[in-house]
Amino acid sequence: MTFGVRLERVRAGYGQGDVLHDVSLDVAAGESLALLGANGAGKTTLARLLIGLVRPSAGRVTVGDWDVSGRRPDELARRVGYVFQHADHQLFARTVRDDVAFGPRCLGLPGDGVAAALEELGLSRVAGAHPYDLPAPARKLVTLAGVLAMGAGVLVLDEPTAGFDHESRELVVAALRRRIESGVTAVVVSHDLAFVAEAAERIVVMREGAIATDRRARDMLRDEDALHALGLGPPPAAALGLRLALSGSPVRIAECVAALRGARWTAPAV
Amino acid sequence: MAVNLVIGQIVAALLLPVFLDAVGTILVAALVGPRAAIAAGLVSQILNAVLSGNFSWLPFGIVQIVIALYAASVARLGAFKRYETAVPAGLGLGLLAGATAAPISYFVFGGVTGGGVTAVTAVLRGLGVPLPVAVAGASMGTDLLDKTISCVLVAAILRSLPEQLAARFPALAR
Amino acid sequence: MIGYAAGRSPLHRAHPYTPLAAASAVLLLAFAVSTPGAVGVVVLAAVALALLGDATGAIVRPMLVLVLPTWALLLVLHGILGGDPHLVLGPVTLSEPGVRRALVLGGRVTAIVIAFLTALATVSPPRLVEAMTARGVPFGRIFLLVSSLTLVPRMRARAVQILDAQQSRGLRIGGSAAARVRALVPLVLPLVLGALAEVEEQVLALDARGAASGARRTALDPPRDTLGERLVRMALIMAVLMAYAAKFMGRGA
Repeated sequence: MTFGVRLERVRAGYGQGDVLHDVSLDVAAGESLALLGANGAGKTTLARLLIGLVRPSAGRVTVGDWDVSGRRPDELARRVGYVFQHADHQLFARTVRDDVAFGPRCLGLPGDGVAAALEELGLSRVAGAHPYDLPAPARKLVTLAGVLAMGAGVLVLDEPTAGFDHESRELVVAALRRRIESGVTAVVVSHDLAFVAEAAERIVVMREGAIATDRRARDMLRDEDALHALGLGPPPAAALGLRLALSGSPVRIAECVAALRGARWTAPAV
Repeated sequence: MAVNLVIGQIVAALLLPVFLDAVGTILVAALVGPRAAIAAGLVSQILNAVLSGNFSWLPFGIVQIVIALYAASVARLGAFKRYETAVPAGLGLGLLAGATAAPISYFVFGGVTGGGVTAVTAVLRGLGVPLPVAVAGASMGTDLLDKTISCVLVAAILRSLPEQLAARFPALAR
Repeated sequence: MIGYAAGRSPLHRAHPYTPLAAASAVLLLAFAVSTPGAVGVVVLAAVALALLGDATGAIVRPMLVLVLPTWALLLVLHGILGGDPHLVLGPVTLSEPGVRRALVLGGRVTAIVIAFLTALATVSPPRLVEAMTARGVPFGRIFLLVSSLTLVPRMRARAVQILDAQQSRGLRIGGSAAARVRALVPLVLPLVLGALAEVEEQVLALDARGAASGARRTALDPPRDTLGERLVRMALIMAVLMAYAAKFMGRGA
């Protein structure tokens, strides 16, 4: 099952004062959206609304036909898979396999997604190891596998690639793309634009609790001025495409390679 | 040490009528030994007072010492290696801790201590049970539950300890 | 708010040991006396200490939060449910010995809470560390105490994260009593394992800083301790000793 996500004129926050002011957002089923913005702009608050850990003080949040207000986080977990930024704090089982199986077991799922999720993220080799004996990026992959194994129709990932090397990031990109192609909706909070370029089709920029920009990822990632305003720059493939004025406005590495292959390229005179 | 203090937060979220404030002490007793456990128990009692501001609980430090000594000796017998042995060990600890805490609670505070225990005391008292008996009964019942859960949790923690970390604690090998 | 509140009162400027000694003296004196009147004197002494430390503003809220429930419970447990003779005060009947007992116990708790909140509000932690270092307390022990204190807020934050994360993985917080007890494992284990891993790092950090070398450290800027303050602390010790002597002799007679 796949679900779209919708926020209608939502206000939300923690205790005193709202962090989000009147936010409306529509993410179609199977769409992949990246949330950008400075710290404190409200990205994580928006993400947490979807799993019911923050409650809207006004407006409505729906996941498919579910209004999140009436549901506990553990109920919403059937539809929304949430990977936390410091997710490795949640590990507790004696083996990687057991920890990945925790979520499916809580939901009463058969658990056939566990081995697949481990395989997808390159964790099969360490499935019998203790999670705490793994390096930090691998622990984070374990938590991601734990959420993938739950087979949710919506994935919400908060900084999923922070501190990752290229190889781990590629694994996450590949797993996420496979899900998106099968109709899963993805909402990603990330500062890692190389990851965003590979994983997202749409970018929403948040500023001071409101949506400041909402555009196609391809356009945003090639807009150096807009990115500089956020203290960011185009990801490598997009930068290369811009410098070399490649056709097809590439932002992903594969697109850049294809554009370079196709280009009749002559070395500039020195 | 910090474990003793923070577990209370999780318990509160679960709305369980226990404190589990001895898990850290029992764990240190099983991992390191009695002296470290006494230190951990006492320091956590003092820190608890510092952080909560409620210094009138300091006399219960004596209970932590008793817990530390008991936990270290049963750990040496391997009580925390299996759940089947952790449960009776916890019941024993509950009896002992309750027996230590009740006189403190009665003489120092006249039966008023933590929220849960006091409520039980008041109910028993309302039923016509004499105060010393009410205090002992309330404190004993809560302690039995509390310490049994604590001991089972410690057994679960020891089971899931990664080898790399476990290797640093020589008391485990015994 | 519980904790240090900057200020320029005599207690703030005193050697850190002095407010701590005063608070400890209040604690011990509170248990040494057992009549409502005498406990009242101890409460007044604690209030005087708070006034001297200019700490009343900082401590009044946490004091009430800590003390009022205790008073309420004491009055129910002893005042209403206590033994005979009973006094009839309008709609309620109060037990006379019960009320006396409630006054003693509640007064004790109140005095202790006021005194220690004042000490916390007036003793700056860095100055206390300097003072302990100057007195030759081993660095490892100071580090352990300070690091545990800084660990607690971090672990509290982590406990919240773990609660959130496990719920998002489908763990139900609530339901039957048995389910709630079972839910302890996925909540407590990550907390403890994380804490143990962190303690291991701290031990390594300590080793790297030569904490085990046993060499005596030099305090950079030790707080000044005056003869007057030393006399005050001696007097406090004497007062406590005398109070206990009177208590036990009184009982023997």
